[in-house]
Amino acid sequence: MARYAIRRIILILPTIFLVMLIAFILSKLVPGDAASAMLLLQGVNPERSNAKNEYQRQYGQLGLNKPTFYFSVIPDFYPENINEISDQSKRYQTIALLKQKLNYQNIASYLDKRDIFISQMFIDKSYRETDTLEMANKLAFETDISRLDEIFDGVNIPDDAQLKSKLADLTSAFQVLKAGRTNMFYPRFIWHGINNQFHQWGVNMICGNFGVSMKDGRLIAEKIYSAIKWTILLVFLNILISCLIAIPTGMYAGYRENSHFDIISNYFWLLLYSVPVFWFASMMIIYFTSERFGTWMDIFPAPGNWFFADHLSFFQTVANYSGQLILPVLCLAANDIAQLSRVVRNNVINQKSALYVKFALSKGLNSTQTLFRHILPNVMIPLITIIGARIPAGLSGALVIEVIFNIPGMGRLMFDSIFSADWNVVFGILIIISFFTITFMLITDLLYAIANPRINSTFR
Amino acid sequence: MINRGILYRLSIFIIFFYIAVAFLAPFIAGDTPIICLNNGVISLPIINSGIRNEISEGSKCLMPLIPFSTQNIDPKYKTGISPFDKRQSGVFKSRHWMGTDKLGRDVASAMVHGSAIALKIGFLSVFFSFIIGVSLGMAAGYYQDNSIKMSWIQLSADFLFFITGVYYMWMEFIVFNDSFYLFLLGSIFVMICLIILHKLTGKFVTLYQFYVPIDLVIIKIIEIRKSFPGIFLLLALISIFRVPSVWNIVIIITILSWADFARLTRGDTLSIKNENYIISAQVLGFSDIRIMWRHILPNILPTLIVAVCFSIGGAVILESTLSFLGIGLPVEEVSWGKLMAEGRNMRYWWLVFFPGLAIFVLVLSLNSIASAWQKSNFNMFS
Repeated sequence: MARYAIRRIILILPTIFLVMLIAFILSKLVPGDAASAMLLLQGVNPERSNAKNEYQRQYGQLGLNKPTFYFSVIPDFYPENINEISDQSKRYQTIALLKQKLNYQNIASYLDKRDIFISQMFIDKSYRETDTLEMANKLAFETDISRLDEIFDGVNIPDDAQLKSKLADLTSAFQVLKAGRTNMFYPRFIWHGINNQFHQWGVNMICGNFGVSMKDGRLIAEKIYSAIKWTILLVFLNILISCLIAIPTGMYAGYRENSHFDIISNYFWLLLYSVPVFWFASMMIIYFTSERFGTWMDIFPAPGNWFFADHLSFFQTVANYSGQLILPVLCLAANDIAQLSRVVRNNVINQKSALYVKFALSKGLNSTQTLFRHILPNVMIPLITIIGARIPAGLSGALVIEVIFNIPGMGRLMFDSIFSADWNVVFGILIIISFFTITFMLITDLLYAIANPRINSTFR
Repeated sequence: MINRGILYRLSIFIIFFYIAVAFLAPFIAGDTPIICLNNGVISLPIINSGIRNEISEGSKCLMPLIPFSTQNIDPKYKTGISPFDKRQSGVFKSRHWMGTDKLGRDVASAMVHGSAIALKIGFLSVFFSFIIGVSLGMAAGYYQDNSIKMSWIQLSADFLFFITGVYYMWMEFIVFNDSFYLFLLGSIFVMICLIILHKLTGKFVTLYQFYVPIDLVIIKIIEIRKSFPGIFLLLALISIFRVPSVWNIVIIITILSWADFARLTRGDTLSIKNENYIISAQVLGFSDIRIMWRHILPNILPTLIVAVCFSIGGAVILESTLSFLGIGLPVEEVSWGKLMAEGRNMRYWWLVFFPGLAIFVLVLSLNSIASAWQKSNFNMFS
């Protein structure tokens, strides 16, 4: 048993690593720039020209200038770490130029010379309304090499000697850039060590340091802590109610196989299993929370806003809102009851034909005693796995219910954060929920191994 | 065995009815006439859309059953009417049988056109996840950890070839050219070369051999997929797609649901792998692919059909949940979930009731087909 548990726990470590890696990759793929979002949060418009320094400071503070992963495999003309360029537009332009297979050294020198040229053109007022100024305007945003070529070809050589030398300098840098274009390249392997974004992110996640929300600047850990209580409450109530209803009915249906009760309940559970949860919930809200269709139909309180008084504890708040929790829990439990009850019934039917049942009956026990003393424990063992799988799945179901009924849980937080592009919160929740799921899978497996000693250490 | 009762037949009929409605949607609901008689000339505006402008006032036309398209706004009912409200004019054919939404668009037409989207997403995503899940699960169950031998030298050669090949394809086609299809083609080419290389080196290199743990690897992948609860992963995945489209949803639902098929297939393959007929086929020298395709697959098909039916229902519900939440589908597409979302906000019961009923009936008939095929020891969690 101990060997099995240790083996199981060790096998979970690579899973956790890969789960975090996938979440990190997803978080890197979402649109938007984290540093700009932080600037917006501080009330600075990142589009303004004087926000550049602030952007670079924020960029460094968030660790975005570090390499992305432990190692990188890049073409030989790439820079070692492209994230080091903290100027946003320069970074994007460098990437755009690199995509045309141009050498990084040449790109860097060209961009530097171009920036100096452009700034001089704009500072010196004597160049106003000349062709060169127009050219500088074009150069500032152009990254396509063939169109750059056209611009450099079409320029009129100015009379001013100083300007002429500057332009010649820039043109020569461009010619070098153009000549350095490669078709073939070798991949280069670079080891960055642990000073990278993924490592930093992963350590922060494991230590519970999720950062701040991009929407309101609150700590994400705080936000999640206040939300997770509601989700856990919902899932717990759901499991409790569905077990309380499903196990007795399932047992009875399996015990009296092919009776009227069995057949009717079978069809009824099938019906209930097919009902889309959100439809059921919406219909309940429309019909049973207002007086529009008759006074007697106003049974449940309407899903309204939730108000949290500071002096009340969590359980007191729950007690205040218990009326509002009835409908969500009912909707959440509907599908689970159907599933669980069918599983219990099928298990009872399978166990009924086992030899130990025949032995118990021939020993002189009556059928009720056999059912409760011998069949029930054997039915409960597979139920551990199923309930263990239902708890993480219940989190998904709770998301829709929380959104429909306005409950301030994890699902609702995730949903709102996606709409406001608050990616820190989204991936924090994703990580927490998957850790939760992994832990539950582990606990379920271990409980199953304890309850069912036939499992040996070779079982996976 | 299969319980071919009245319920089973009714369910099959309902499924075919839905499919027919989905395929014939423009003939059932739309503002384009199906067939027109204009001065003795018969034309089909619904097929040839260019004719539509030439139809004069005097021609006789046969309109679809519901003469509204999904985007037509009826100016008379701009605030939405319920099916039982009194109508202003008594034209029987253009009565809104299921009411209108808040802008005055016909709900019945949207229902008909929404069925196409729902079925498309349901069937396609289950088709793809069936292919991925069944092939992976069968490989895991059939080969397990102790049938394929490989040398470390061979493995490192394969690994190097694969990494460099895919890397060059990635750089050349994704980074420098922005073409995903070329990348796929290139990767398939790399894979074919890899297989040839593997076969060639397998003949010469027999040193340092070990058993390839196919089962362990596939189980690990399934476990990683299962570590993310469905809808949370779905929301995170949807946010990385910048342009919403139907195919994104198909891909995402495939990513979510292949693991169930893989797990189920693996278990079933394991349980029949040591049957006599498989062993005889192996003794006769049939290839592994042939054994899997001709001997294992037909024998595990009944359980897979159950899973397919449940999964199609699940995918339809997932899709409508997504559009109910207001994510995923592009704005111009009509779907049942969108109607329900609007109805929930406006408290219009007919906008919630009819689409939900359509989903419910579809899923119920799929589930009853599944449960007719189901053996008593199968459980829905698979």
